[in-house]
Amino acid sequence: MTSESMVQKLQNMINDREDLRWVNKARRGDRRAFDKLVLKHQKRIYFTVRKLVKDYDVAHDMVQDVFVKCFQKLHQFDGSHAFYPWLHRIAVNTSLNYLKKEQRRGEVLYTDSEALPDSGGETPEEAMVYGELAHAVEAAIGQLSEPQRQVFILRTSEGLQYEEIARELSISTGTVMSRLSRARERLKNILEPHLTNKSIKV
Amino acid sequence: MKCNQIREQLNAYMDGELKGEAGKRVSAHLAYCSQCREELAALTAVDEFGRIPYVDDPGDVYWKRLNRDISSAVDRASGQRVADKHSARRRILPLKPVTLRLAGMAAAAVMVLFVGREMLEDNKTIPVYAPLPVIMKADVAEESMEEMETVKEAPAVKTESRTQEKMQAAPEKSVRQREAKKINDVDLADKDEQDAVSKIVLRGAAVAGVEKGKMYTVDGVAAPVEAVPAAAPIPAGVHQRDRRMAKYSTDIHTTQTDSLNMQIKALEGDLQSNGELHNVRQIRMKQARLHYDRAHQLMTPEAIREARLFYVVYGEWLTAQADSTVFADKRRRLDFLVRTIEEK
Repeated sequence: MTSESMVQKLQNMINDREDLRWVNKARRGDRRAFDKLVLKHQKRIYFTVRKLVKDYDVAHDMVQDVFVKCFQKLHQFDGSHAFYPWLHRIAVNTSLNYLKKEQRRGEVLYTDSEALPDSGGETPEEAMVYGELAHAVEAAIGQLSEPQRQVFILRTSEGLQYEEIARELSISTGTVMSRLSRARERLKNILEPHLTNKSIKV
Repeated sequence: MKCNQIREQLNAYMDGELKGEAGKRVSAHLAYCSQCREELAALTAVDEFGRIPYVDDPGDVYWKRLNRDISSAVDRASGQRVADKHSARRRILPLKPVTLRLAGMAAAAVMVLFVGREMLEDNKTIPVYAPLPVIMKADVAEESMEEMETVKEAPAVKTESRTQEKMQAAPEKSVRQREAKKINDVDLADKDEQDAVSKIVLRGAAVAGVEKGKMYTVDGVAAPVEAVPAAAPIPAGVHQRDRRMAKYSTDIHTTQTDSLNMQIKALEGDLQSNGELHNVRQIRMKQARLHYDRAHQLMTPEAIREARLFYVVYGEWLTAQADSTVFADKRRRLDFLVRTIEEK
């Protein structure tokens, strides 16, 4: 193990300890301690949620809900593990529940293989003209169908295993696999211009 | 093994989901097939794309706003939990979709009639906070506004929070700091030794029409108002920060806010043409957000009142629909802003 990763590990440990201290205080009714937890983690949670639910306003509300849930469930938190993964789990679950509900309400009728027409936003091509990779990626991911996007993000950004994804979305691992491979295939085609020498061209 | 068979398994292979023999077979194939290696590299690169932080960092102003909103949402949830436990009052009646839809339409009519200022100006007695199931009474809109003044009798209710007790004991300075920190602080409920809400002490700005000794409802718990601040010097931390932020964002968003208003109106049009329940819900949610953003960006009394009125009319319904504490929270925030305006 390199010394650098040792330092990283140590830092993580200190970080987790700090979290746990705050969690314990918050459990005893110290709101300020909870505020500290919020301040520390809100950005990461926001990005997690935002990637999943896309819509800025919904994400804003959702992050609040996540922390409210976290606050309400704090007494269930098992202190033997780190706090962030637990919080992160809440964020992913909350987002997915929301998405499921939206789907069930039939507001957006997805089909697995078809991409939805991008509503008004930039096309990946347009974004690339501006040379902004981040925008290009966002636009490209926006072109995926909703189920594909979810699976892709859960796998790449959130690092979940197939089985976990399947459980979260109540689908089979086979479906996870097929959606994921279609998502990647599609992204590969859209982002082709950025793919040179097998790495990312910025 | 053929390349196309391998390709089918590449995804699982790169995700480490291909165990045992199958994994070994793919490895062996990749060792000599450069095309499949390239394919694998491309897929890996695609994943790298997915990992880059492609969501824009919304910036410090936003982070502060988010932090504040979270804080008040949590405040509210903790208060609400207490209220929920002890009073049956806050139950939301289960309504059939048809009823809801009618209620939504009736309420839409209310909006058309009352958007503007007269109503709110006449109705100066805005209580501290009164969660009201307006939408349930959408057919009697005027009463619903009056209901805001109704005083509920409720037994003293136990609360769990200890921080408030401490706050009370703390020297004034720290109380102020706390207020400055939390914009949307409820800062109303006070409690006695038995740890029950027995009186309300207004710590923030004076609220027009709120009188000492009168009963008001806070989070579903009624208590007499014990103290009313005099000249209201406190918009300080609270109000000013809002102003500052508003100024900042108005510079940028002036044109955007106009378009927000147009969007709200356009949505109203959509509603006419498509009255399915889920559409109504979605449109109302969108409108609520637009209203809220607009109020925040313009920071004019009109915008704030309009937004608040919207939340008064739809807040409870939306909360029930969206299964979220956020609408009620925003509503409360707007209540606060209206109060500060009126007291000016």
